[in-house]
Amino acid sequence: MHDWRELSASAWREPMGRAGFFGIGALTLLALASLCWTPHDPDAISGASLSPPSLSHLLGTNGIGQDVLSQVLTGCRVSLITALAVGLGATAIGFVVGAAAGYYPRRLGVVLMRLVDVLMTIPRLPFIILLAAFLPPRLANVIAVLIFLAWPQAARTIRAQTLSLRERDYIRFAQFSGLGFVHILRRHLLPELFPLLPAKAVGAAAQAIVAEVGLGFLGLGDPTQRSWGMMVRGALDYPGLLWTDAWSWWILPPSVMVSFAVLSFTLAGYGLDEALRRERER
Amino acid sequence: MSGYLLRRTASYLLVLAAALAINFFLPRVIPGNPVEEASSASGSLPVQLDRQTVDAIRKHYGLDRPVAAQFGSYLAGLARGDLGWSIGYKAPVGRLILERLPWTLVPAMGALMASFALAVLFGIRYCTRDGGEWRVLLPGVLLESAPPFVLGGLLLVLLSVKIPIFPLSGAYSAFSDLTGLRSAIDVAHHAALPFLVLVASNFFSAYLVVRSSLLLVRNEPYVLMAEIKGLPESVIRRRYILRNALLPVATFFGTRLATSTGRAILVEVVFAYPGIGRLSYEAVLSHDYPLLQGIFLAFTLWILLVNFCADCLYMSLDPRVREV
Amino acid sequence: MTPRISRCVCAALFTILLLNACGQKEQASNAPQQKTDAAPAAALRLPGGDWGLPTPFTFYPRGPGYLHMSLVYDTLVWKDRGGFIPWLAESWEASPDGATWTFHLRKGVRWQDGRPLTAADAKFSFEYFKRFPMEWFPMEKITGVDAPNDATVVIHLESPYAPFFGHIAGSIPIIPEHVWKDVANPRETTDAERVMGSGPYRLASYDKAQGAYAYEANPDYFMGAPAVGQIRFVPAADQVAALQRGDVDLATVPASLLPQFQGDSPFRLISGPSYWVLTLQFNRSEASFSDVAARQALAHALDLKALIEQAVPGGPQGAKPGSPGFLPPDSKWFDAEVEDAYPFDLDKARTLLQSAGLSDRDGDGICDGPDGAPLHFTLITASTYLREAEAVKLMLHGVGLDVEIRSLDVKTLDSMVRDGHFDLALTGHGGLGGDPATIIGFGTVRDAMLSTATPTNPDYVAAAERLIETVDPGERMALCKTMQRLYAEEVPVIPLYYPITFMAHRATPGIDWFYTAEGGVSIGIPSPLNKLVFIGEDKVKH
Repeated sequence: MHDWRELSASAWREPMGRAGFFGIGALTLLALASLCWTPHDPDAISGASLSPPSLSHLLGTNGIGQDVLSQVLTGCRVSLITALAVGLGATAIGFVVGAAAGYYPRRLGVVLMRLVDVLMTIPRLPFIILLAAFLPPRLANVIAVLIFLAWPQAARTIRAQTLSLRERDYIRFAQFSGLGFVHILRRHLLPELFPLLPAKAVGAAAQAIVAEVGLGFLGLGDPTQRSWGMMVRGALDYPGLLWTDAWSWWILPPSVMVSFAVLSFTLAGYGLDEALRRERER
Repeated sequence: MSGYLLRRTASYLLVLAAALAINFFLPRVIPGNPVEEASSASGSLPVQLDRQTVDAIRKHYGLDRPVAAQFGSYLAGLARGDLGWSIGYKAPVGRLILERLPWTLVPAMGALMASFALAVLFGIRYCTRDGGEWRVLLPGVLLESAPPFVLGGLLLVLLSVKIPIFPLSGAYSAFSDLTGLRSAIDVAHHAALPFLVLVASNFFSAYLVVRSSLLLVRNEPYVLMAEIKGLPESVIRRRYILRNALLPVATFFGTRLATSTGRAILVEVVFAYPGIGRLSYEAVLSHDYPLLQGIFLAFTLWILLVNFCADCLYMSLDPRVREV
Repeated sequence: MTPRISRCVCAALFTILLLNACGQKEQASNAPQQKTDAAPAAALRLPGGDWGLPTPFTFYPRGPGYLHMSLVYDTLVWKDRGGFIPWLAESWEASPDGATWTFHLRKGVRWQDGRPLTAADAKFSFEYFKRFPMEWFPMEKITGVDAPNDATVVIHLESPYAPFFGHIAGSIPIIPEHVWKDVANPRETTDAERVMGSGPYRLASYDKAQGAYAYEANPDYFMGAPAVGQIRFVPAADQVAALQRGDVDLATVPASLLPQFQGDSPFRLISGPSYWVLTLQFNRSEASFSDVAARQALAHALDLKALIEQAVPGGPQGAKPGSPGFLPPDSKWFDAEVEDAYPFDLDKARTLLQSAGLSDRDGDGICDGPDGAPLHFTLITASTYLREAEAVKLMLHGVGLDVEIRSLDVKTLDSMVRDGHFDLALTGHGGLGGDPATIIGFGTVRDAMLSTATPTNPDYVAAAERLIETVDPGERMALCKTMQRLYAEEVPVIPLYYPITFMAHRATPGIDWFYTAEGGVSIGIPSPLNKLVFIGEDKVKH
């Protein structure tokens, strides 16, 4: 079994992993800070529309005169919550379903994989629009939709790996000895499959951030939450914005922040990956 | 062996049936209907429709019949190979899809193949030895971290607007009489930016999967054995590590390939590229039932086809799976 | 990169190139290639987009679709910058009751295939449209069409119909009988050979996937060969960029970018009303907004000038504030007296809200309902109007109304508003330049499907019904005044603003862009792409 303290210490020693953890830490700090203080009320109209960066508005104002910096800070929360919830949720569901499907390939596996197939054949965009039309546009719903759409991918990979793992002698032996699935899952499959999980969780988390921005880009995010996606959408809806200088302080900051958040998660995952690899080598 | 394939085929047919039903009923649950497109507020000038005209048009497209009857004639049409008539585009759905299909498959699949090829090449080169990997990781992660439409928009502004090297939109120059190589160059010129953005958005995930599965295999006893036997490093990498590491990579390639058409939507929208992704986006926005059904069917068939190929691939890559 | 890797990369790229080439070849054979016969006097490139094959049955029922179709097909009358002008018909007269119209066709007009255009074609056209209804063409008022001789068409109406010129004589194209008489399903007839009318241009090529059209001048046009020899609609995703790159000669530019096109730029600007309105709609069947006082309160609570300043690109240059009477100031039917019916006044708004039973009784800053619970409203809108929605939300918060924004795609928004699944909605529509009797939300013609927002006052409805049948301009003006006054009293919706459109164009000799009178081309398309511009206004024989 892996020792989590050792693992994270090992991941911390990897410079890129450390950068990732620093990034996530910084985002968390910003998100927490935005709970108690932002330069302006992100909803209030605190200046003239599209005023360039100045001392009172460090990142200028948007198309209706709201402070961009305050909105960027508030946006941290949404992206972080989305990333964590979707990353963990999708990987957990995907792991359990994938391992079960790979372990019982005959009946349960077929049923589960058909479910995965059906879910993956649902065209995403209409599905999202449909949900946006009927579900109240709450962040929790967005997260649920993203988990719902993300877990089948993890499940497929895990299942393929389990398929080949279960052919191994020690698992056959364990099976033969009459050990149950849960036991084999925890004792044998989890340690073997675990190296794939951080990559999956990181992938899902990063994808969730991108997807949340994508939903915003389509104008279907939660408009009560100041997310980076909604900011980008708002900017792109402003006619001719790309032809003025305003794009550099209205579109660029949320885009950079999205990239930064994805970057942090990916690097952190990379660090965990490396740590696992080193541990396995020992 | 053939029994395995038969079972798979049977279950795929089941999925197809379920998908057909979902494809048919899902669009009809969304509020709004295609006939009112003309009187929608979305355009600059709505046309007022009287009840008579609406009824006549609904009747023309068979939308006045019970949903079950509509489903029946939809299936009957499918059996004849008739995908129906697009209400919004006023053209046969089959022709619309065929016209657009190459423009999605070419950049999306090309970009996918290119990014996986790059991932495998770089993976073999860098991740089995220590040091220097950041040269791949850093640009890769930076490029993938930017959402495709942000990266695309940025490239478009910089390379098509501020410095007009690349075309602004479309898949080929309108009204050009180019032939042969020149037309190929013209098409490549138009596809370059979407292609780059798609490569950028696929490469790093592909690299991560290649990498983690290479590392998983690297410590297998048979690799050690080969090393002890003193086989050359290149042989070990290709024959022992790569071959066995390909299973999860192939799975991941399969998932990515299956969703590549859907993934291209945003990129196609940004570059106004006439692919099927943009068509589906527009069909959703105009609630064009027949077109939506046709595109969903195309997506579904595509996904099933890819999954089926992936199944066949597992069998050839890992012979033990055959016994399942 | 090692040489091995770079070779592989090259090979991959080459494969993609080859695949691309195959795709291109297939495409090229689809698009008919036609060579120019006559030397073009001038060629114009305009922003493209797919608007359907330009036949009267397959164009997309939207303004640009009609404009494409109008290049190939002609109508009995047309509009220039001043008003209606003779076109296929050189003169006309109405019966005293206004229900029968007689048109005398111009002599010597030929179809593009050389056959003469006669009154029989016109009769056939109207009857054919009656048989195969198209969204754009209102046929329900026409009871019959006669062609007593080759040059005379008589149209019988069910009752006098004021928008007759705009919606019928100046909008319904005359189609060749010999091309269409055997076609049983015109909506699904898409062969390019059918695109043949009497119009100034022939369709030379059409690429649906990219939205590219090429038109060649018809040298035998009855008014003489058009001044512009060739018109190409070029795919242009971003019109401003396409204009600056020189891909197109004319583009819509947002008001926020006007400075870039003024002064010593190579472009000239024209501007005109968009005849479009952004409105705040109420669900009048809900308790809170069923009371007229509540709606009037909101009208007082919204500072429209500030809204435009804050949310509209280009500020006051980009839009005019909404008039409570609904019709825009650019309309010739506009009544300036109602314009200031609801000045921005927060105290008055609060008083009115109180009289409607909406007031903050527990001091939490949010208005409470009759049961004492704070009221929350949902404002549905499309993502395009989110800026305006934010501004409205903040303004309503100022009078204690708690509003949550929900953004939907436009289709879903439309249907939720129509079905009454909303509290407040921010949505817009165009067509305000056409005949007032036919404006959605203002007039009552054609069952008025979208007009859940028209006033319900019986006096208003009576006036609107009278407006359809009244031909006398003075009486119509009086009716419009009454309607605007009643509209402002009832506040079924709050018109927020009317945008102004700007187009920049490269100065081209012989091209004089203008905005068409009476709200625009046909039923009121507010676009400078009137085919008269391409034909040359000097050629018009009155």
